[in-house]
Amino acid sequence: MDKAKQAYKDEDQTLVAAAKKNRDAFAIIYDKYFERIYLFIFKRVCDEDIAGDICQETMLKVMFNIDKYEDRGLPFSAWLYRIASNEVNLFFRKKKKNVVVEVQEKHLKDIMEEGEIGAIENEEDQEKLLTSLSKLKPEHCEIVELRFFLHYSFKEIADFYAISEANAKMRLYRVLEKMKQDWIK
Amino acid sequence: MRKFKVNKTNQTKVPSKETIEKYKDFSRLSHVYDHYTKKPKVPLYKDKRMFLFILIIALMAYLLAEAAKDDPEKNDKDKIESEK
Repeated sequence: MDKAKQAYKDEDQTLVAAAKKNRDAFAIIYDKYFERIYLFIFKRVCDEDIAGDICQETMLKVMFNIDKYEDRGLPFSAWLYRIASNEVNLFFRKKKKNVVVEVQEKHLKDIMEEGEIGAIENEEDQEKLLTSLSKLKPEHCEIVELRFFLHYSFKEIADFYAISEANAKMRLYRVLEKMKQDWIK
Repeated sequence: MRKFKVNKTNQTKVPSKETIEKYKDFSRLSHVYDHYTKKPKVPLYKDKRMFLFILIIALMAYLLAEAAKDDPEKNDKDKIESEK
């Protein structure tokens, strides 16, 4: 790990230790991460107001659970993103009505290429893929979104789930395989 | 539930800094946190359910005591039996 990353990690650990002792110190973590968490949520829900609400809810959960946080060698931000993602999944589960989320065409093509699903330029196939994406459970869809919509590397996905890189790859390809199976049906 | 829609423009809509700042409010978060964690403690008898529970227990105790008082014959029988 290079020095800059280590320094960043150390700074986070100092902030967390301070926040555990004094809740007012949590304001610094809030200030530092709010924007990043907001954008992460926004990219998944495509709505400013909803992203704002979920972001506040995420920060509240972080504040409640900061005592439980343990440094396991992973970046503190991975823990934050995980909580944020759980909140997003919870939001979609609770929502009875359909929430429309925009996906860029190039991202769809990436999924089709990587998973060898359908014909990339075929619009019907793209629509079909979107339908099969909508049918996925939020936790399965999450890894596809991280990889193809948010452009996470496998290392980042591994940190996010606190698993190894090999497991992250396996998890993603299992979901893609499942989508392919649904596609064939 | 979520429904995906294709965005053909391939342009990502990103909220501006000002928009994000609009949602950033630590004092509100802190207020909500305090609301959940620093609830004033209500005495047991001021809780409606608990008050009713205590009342029922007291009433049952009173009725049992009264029933024991009203039945002296049974009390005597119990005494004799215990003496035997």
